[in-house]
Amino acid sequence: MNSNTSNLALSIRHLSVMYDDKVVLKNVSLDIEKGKLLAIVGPNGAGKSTLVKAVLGIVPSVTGSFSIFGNHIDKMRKNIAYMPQRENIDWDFPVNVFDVVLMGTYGDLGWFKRTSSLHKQRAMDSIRAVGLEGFENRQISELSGGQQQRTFLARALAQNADVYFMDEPFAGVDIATENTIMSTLYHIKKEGKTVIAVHHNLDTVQKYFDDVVIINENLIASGDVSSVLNTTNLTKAYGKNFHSSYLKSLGPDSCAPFPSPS
Amino acid sequence: MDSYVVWTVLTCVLCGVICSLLGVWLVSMRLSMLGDAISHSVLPGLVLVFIVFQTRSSIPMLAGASAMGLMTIWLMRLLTNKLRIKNDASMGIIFTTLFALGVVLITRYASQVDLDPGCVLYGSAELVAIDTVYINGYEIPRALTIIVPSLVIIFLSLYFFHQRFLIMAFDKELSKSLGLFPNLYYYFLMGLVAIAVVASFESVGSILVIAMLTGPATAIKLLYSSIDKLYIYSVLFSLSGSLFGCLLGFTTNTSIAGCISIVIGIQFLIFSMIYLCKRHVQKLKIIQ
Repeated sequence: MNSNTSNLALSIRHLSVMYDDKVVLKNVSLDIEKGKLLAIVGPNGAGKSTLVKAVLGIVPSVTGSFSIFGNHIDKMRKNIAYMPQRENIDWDFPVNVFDVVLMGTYGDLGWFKRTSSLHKQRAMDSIRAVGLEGFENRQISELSGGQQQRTFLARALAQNADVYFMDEPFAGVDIATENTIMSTLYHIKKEGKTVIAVHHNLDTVQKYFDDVVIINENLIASGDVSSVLNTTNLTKAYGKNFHSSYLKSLGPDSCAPFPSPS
Repeated sequence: MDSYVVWTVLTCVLCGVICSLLGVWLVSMRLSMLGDAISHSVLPGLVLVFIVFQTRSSIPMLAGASAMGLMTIWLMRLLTNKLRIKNDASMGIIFTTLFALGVVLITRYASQVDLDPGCVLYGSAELVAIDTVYINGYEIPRALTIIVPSLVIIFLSLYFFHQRFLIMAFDKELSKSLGLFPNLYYYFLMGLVAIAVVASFESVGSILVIAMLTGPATAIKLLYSSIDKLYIYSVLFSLSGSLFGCLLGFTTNTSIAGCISIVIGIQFLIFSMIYLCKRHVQKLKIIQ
């Protein structure tokens, strides 16, 4: 392994994914640096979640290879954490906050081993870190949307990983939770770890993230937010008729190429 | 109390315990009807074991039934994924076809197969204590030679693999990303359901076994929302259902399996009343 690859948290080569007969991702190659907060943006159905799920092996890919710190993903499963999208969770399932967070430590499970008190301690620490102490025994359907999201953030923390994959962590949360999530992400970054988040709000990309990946079936651009997030790239991804207060903030020049919808 | 009553009650109680344990998972995963499908589709597996091996001993029967249970799930998934039809539609097609195959096999090979289609549907808890075998000189109902090993297998599996089942059932995606093979554990759990169904098959039949599988956990889930409580109270619910069901069956001299299902239904009704009252009280509290 050379020093160049080991500095890459994630490296994707020629990734293509199909659902039935529909191409979702086409020949995406991408390098993501270690220690960055990175947002994946693109229009609905652009394959943002699919990109993350393909890397983690949740959905099958037609072609492509990935490496995490230069290693095959199967060797690195204990070094990655995953926070799914809210809609994919059955909130009526009979588990409480502590049960859910403890699942973050299941990566250490042996064939017949059950979780130890050390793991339970790690789960409690994570619950405290997101400010949910006192809610451990609450059934997950009895939580507010923000508390539900923080429960899953705590679970990702309990995974104690080097790379955190998050699918829409800011979807449907109040401003207090958004702040908690953001400060947690900064904390993760401070420890030299990497966060790769699917994100839908273009207005907050610059505020929260260092790097951005813009996709719509194909990779459109990736790199530093300030150099990549511009009208040309976003128009390629979203088409000409989209509105973003972020783009307006870039000034009249950036908005100039937009024709009025006919 | 004579031994006939004791053996009959014990058999029904153990069947209830086995089914209620797995019912916790079926209900939590919203798969109640899958228990229905498996309880019917294991029939050809049992009949084939009779025809091919000419045996009613427990190991081949459990193996045949689990194999058929897993095949049901696999065929259902195949139909759903390849033909893109809805899950409940593929379930309806597969389990009726397999069950029908079982019925046809029973009637065709009636001389070799010691199974009565009526018993398959309604069970024959009344006959369990009469059909006995000798083990180490003790005379015990033959049904227990399949029920007790099933209980042990199911109890140990649920104990040792609890967390793997939990993460598979709750969050398949995280389970996959951790490399914990959720599909494997899904099939494992369904294999256990097939075992539970076969163990209870002769005593309570393939239709009433569904009451034992889904009744307890559905009732308890109205009031409690943790897996541990679901386990404990579902087993208690089922114990009471089997005991009072047997009592009702003996005193009225009718079908014991039928009586157990009726008692489970009545208990369920009581639980839903409690649930509705609880919700009403909560609403009143909010208004005040």
